[in-house]
Amino acid sequence: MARDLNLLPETLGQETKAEEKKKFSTLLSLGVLLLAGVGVLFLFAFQMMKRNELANINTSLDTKAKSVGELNEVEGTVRALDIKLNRLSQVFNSSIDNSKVLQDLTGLTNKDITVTDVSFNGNSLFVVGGLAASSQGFNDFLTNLLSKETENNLFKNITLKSFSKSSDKDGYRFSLSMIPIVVKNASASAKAVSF
Amino acid sequence: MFKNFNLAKISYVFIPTITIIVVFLLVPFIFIPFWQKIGNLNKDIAEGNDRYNQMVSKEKKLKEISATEERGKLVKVTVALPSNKDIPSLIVGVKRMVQESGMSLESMQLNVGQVSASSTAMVMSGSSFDFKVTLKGSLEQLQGFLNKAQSAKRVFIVKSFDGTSGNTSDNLLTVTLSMSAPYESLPESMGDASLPLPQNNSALDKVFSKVEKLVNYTLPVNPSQTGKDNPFE
Repeated sequence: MARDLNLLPETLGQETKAEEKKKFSTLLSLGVLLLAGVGVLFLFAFQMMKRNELANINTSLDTKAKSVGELNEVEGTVRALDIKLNRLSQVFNSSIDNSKVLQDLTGLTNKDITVTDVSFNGNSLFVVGGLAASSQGFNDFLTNLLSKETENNLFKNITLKSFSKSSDKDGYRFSLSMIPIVVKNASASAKAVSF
Repeated sequence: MFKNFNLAKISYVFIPTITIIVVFLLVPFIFIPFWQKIGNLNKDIAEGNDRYNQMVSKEKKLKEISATEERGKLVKVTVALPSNKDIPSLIVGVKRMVQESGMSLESMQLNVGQVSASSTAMVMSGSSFDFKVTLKGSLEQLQGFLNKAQSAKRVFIVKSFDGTSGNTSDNLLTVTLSMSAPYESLPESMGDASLPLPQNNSALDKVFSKVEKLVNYTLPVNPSQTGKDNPFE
């Protein structure tokens, strides 16, 4: 069977160009494939390098942990001290200086006042009961207390719960409740020296 | 059938097509997972480096710390806050405080098996041992006792108290105090290489210097000799 051959110079040029384009695209594709392969290899190698680096760090960490572990006793002591001091700090900061409150309270009394009942309910409420030899003596005591309430430096919410003539003794029975302005136990160290 | 088969012609079409397909498949199935793995590894390496640096600084700090000094401190702090209820020293302490304040100890109610679960407003966390003491004395003596209770090295908390002199002529108050003695038990193993060391804290240093100044009432007062050297004499 005969083949049609077109041997015109223009046609031959066009065919050569088409062939070149095809070759170029093939070579380009092979190049891209090669690059992709190199990329994959590079990523794999890079990952292996990173894995190796991580393994080295883990080995160093283990070695360091062992040498730190040899100082375990010191660390335990430091940690125990920290736990106990933190707890003590909480205790010191949350306790009320009852003796200071009582001292402040008795400092406001006078010779006519005898304290016969005193209680603290744990929620900062102090209740004081007693016998006043005269109503004037009780007035002075109450005025002193209320002035402290106004100054807002000792007690607040002072309430006279009862005041009546004593049935068994000369004078008047009274009962007062008050909330001390919270005095934390912080002054304990200063007081401790005096003992 | 194969008369029009042209290998060169197929390769021109096949290779670019395969390339495009391979590249499109490589991105989601190879490049992105690899990239993510490398990202994770970088993160682990950074964390590992941080931990290593922390451990180096921890080791340096631990070597700088005097073990003897710290142990001494811990012993002092343990007197203030024992690791258990330590009831014997508690009784000695209370008796001595009562004695020194001039009051008389009427009764002491200890519930040995009971542990307060620190739910009170007074103690914020940890355990404490609650007990009650009934004392008799003047208001000034009570004040003195409360003062001692707050300056005692074995830390006590007066949770509440209730006192009355009733109709007695001596005007002495009979006071029932509800008290609490905090304690802190420690875990068996305290050293943990993976944890950072507690930071130096000036507030805690103040607490320690305060503890040092507190008075130790838990030492027995003039222990008198009891019994005989030879019971058969």
